Amino acid sequence: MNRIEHHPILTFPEKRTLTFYFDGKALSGKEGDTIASALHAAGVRVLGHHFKSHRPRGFYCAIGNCSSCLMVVNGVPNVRVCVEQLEEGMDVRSQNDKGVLP
Amino acid sequence: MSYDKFEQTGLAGPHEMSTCLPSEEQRKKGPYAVIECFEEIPCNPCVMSCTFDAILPFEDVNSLPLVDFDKCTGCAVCAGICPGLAIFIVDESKPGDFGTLRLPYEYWPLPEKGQTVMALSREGGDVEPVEVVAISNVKGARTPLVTLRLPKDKLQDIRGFRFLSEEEQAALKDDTEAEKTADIESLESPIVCRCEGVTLAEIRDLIAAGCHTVEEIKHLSRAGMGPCQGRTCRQIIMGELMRAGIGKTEDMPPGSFRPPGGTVTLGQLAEGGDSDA
Amino acid sequence: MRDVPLLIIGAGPAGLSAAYRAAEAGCDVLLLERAKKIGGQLVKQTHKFFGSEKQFASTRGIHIVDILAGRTKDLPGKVEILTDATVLGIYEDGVVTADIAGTIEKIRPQAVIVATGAYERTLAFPGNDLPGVYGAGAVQTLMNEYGIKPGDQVLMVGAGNIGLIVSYQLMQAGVKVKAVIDAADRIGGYLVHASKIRRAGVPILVRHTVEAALGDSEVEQAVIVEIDDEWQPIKETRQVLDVDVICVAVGLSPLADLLYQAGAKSFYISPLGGHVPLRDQNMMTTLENIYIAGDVAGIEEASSAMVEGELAGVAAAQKLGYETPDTDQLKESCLAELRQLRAGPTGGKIRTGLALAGVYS
Repeated sequence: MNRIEHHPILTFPEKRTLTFYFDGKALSGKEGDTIASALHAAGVRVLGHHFKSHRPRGFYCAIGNCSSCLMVVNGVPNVRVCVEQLEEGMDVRSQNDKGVLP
Repeated sequence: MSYDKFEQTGLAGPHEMSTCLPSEEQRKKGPYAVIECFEEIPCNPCVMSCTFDAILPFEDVNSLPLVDFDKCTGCAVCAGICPGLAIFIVDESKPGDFGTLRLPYEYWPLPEKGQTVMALSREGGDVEPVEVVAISNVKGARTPLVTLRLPKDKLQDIRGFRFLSEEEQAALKDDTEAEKTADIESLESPIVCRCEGVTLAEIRDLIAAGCHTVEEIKHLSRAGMGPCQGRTCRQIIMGELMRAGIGKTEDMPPGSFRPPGGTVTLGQLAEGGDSDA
Repeated sequence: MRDVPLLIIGAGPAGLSAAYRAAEAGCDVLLLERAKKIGGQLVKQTHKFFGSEKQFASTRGIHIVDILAGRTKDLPGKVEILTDATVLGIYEDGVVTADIAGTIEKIRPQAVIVATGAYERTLAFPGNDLPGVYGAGAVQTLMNEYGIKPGDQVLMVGAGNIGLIVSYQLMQAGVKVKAVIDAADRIGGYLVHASKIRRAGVPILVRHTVEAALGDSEVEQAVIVEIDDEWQPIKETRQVLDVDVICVAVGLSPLADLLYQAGAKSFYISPLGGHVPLRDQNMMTTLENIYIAGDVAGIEEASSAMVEGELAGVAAAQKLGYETPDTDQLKESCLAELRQLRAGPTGGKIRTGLALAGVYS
């Protein structure tokens, strides 16, 4: 479990669970998560592979600056998942190329 | 090599401590605040919070706090307020071999009154098991304060505590990691431009081949042409140019910047805005 | 096309403070924020702030957002705040384009305050792109916004204020920090922060650097090494640490893309974090009616970002004709506060940088 249960300063209220799909596999996240935070909480850190070097990619800045976290979301490529809100039923896929328009 | 200066270790030594402790006489009269703040930073909540005027007035917001121990009552208001968690309340006025130390504590969970914890030195090293005698906590705002009962001769040496747990002790033993080595030289060259997957070796080759500006390197390698537009790689490339003796970063043009300053789809552009610009 | 008197880009400490002061003088403000909520980096700062009462010293950053946002209400001027709104360009005819919740819009402001903040710098070492090598801001976002641990064992690279604060926050979230390293020969951040994490048993190793991140598809280990006077690794001192996160806290650079695009004159000023747009005493850049405030004007603390924001807000409103009898006095007191905050030894770097930028003599 990667979620913080107790914190001396912050409280994280219980939120609704959302189901989404990562490369076809059902995972659960929480309302208010971004796609990247939900994946991370579910233990997924490799979000795709670079189109040229084929090296594994994760997020780096988590605030939409660096574009290291591009994935295919509901068929749309090049989505920065660190700033994209998670929604119920989302189809999230690893991106290993430059992306193909839907 | 050893680095033992305060600004290298973050550990207050005899020199620092000699500036913040009361006299023998003053120590006998009651609890007092030990303010371990030895660097001039812009910060003044302690002096503003003291209702006894026991912290000498600041010349400006960067002044160091100095306690007038004749006025300090050890009330601990400053200790709960200090953003640096640098204030400790010591009481060695009671007869006997033991005194108390109140220290700021912002971790979860708080200990319980009566619990035995391991007292820690300024370096976080174990000193000895001690008893928690009081806790004051206003969650969220001020910092909780935990009071430990300590031998009088260790009141100035103990500045933290940790919970005693078998698991943690086992983990600590595992922590002495075996001697390991790594063959760094054979690893792949680091990535400079994440978007376009350009390595440090490629950048260095281009510089060796005569590229002397960020712009040239960008055109030839695509470093900086991906969706982040150079936010990750530009500084490193400039550093490499400097290292190669091409000039100082101060004099280097950073390369061109063009809109859009964020990722948009062509569809958004086609639909958006209006035509009266 | 939207016509607004004053457009502020970025609703962090600087942008919110600018909006407050401009609207107080009677100027309507449109405040655009790229993220889904306002506050900029304040939303993840769980520690109590330094500074003095005027910059909310001893209040936690997470609580300062509400105070700043509250101040923008019920003023003579109206502050409209839009989130999920990314500004894409500032063009020579004064038109600004923005992606507002997925739709491209054009805005024609009479003045602009750019308060876009900063971006995180990174380091080139083998394996630096492996998942698990995260910027310090990313680690904070994950922990303090989403309540998720970034990993179990962390190597912190950088002993400046951000590296020290994030190390402390990691421990508060129950994550083990194996070590904090810094290539410099002294701790760069406030020593009270350093003492605090030393008390928790975390070693701080100065003159150490990260040589590599090891792992097949994610970070599994980090290699660190001591460096000599020429900044070369001393190979005999190499250590391999079992960590699943390498947190990079090696500083910030001003996020000034929009200003370069628009043609604002800027210089590379190392003590301010990189390329910084030049500005005058009123925070106006070399472009007429385009102002800056906060980290985009040079990397500093949130306390000075708020004061710079107030100054830019007052000055921009005044330039547009919105004045009160207190305007000039307010500007003076902002300048005095900034001088105070930068007066001590820890402000030396900022003073040097600003002198290079021609702000201080």
